Amino acid sequence: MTPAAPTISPSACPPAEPTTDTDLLPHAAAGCPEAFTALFNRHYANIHAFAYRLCLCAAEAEDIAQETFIQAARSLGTFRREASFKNWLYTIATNRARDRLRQRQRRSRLDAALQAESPPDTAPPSPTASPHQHEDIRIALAALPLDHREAINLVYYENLSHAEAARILGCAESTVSWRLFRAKSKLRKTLRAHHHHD
Amino acid sequence: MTDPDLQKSLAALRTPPPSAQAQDRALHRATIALANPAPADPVPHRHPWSLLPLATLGSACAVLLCGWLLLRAPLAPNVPTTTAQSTTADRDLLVQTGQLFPGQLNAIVIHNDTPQLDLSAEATTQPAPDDQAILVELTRDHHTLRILSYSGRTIRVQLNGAELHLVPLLTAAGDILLSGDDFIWTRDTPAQIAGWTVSSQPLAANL
Repeated sequence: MTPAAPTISPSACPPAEPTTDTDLLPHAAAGCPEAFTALFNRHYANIHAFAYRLCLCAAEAEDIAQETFIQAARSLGTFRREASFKNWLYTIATNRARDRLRQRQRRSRLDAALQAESPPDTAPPSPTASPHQHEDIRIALAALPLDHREAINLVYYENLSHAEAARILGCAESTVSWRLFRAKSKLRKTLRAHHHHD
Repeated sequence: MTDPDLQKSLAALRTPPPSAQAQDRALHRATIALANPAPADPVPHRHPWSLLPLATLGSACAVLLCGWLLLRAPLAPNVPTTTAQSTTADRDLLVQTGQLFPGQLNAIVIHNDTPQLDLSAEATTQPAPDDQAILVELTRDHHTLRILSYSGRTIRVQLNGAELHLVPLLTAAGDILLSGDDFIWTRDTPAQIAGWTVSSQPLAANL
């Protein structure tokens, strides 16, 4: 059964012109589905990619992205705008990924699941990277603890500063620096070992 | 592998695009959730006077804590005892020794006044820029261990007869993190290492 669509007064919705997150947020928080859809369309692909780099599993990434937007929709009224909307979504996605990892660890299937997953067929071809390189880095990232992967993801892939990453991860900036340092050491070691095997 | 090489490797990770079906499903469920927002946490209304006992208690605790800290504070602050002049001398010593053992010098460890070199067997270490030079000081009773090294190097020191591995790391903010196998030391979270008090500073900062 499909639930009924929410009823919203037209005044809650933004004008049709292109708008920023800041313009859309009050309308979305007031329950306007058009404003929320605009925010969703703007950020979904990015959050999905972020989630994939945290869990390294395409199916889990879709689940995490979905849960992130469901929670964001429920909690928009509590969003204080001290951070950007995108960074707020990163925080939610990180927490969802942590919850999932905890569940998976309870089932003791994390390593097997990561190792068994083959590279996704739908991954877009990259002009610079071969599938072999993709798999090497995926395995190297999968070998990192989640908190190291979170730091790499936010700083190297999302280009956030250590301070921004610290706010999202709820830890000290020095902790982010430290996790990055350890993560890079481990990645270098793993990738060197792969190169030697080749 | 250098940092740019590592970034190139990281860029090789391809992210699968989300399926349109998953995206539609997520939007549909999120839109339903939008119509059912989480209730805001109820905040009980408090009369301003009702906070007075708490404020009084907090102030009293703060005064007691300050007094206790003042009584416990050492006469000398826990900062490196080096002057700008000795900082320059330390850095020069590190640079000149590094030139004698190119690619081999991990650290100079000075126990009281006796220096010892921590060298790699082969020339494997990358030359470090001068602004990455750091000083770590460990003190205990009448013993002082001064370590001159570079950020990111693994240093071996003998503490209480046991070999300990330390990695100092200079952050972008100019702070130093010091890590071992089972601890992390920072200026904000000082802790003793095997009973030794730690202090540190970048050697290039005062030049």
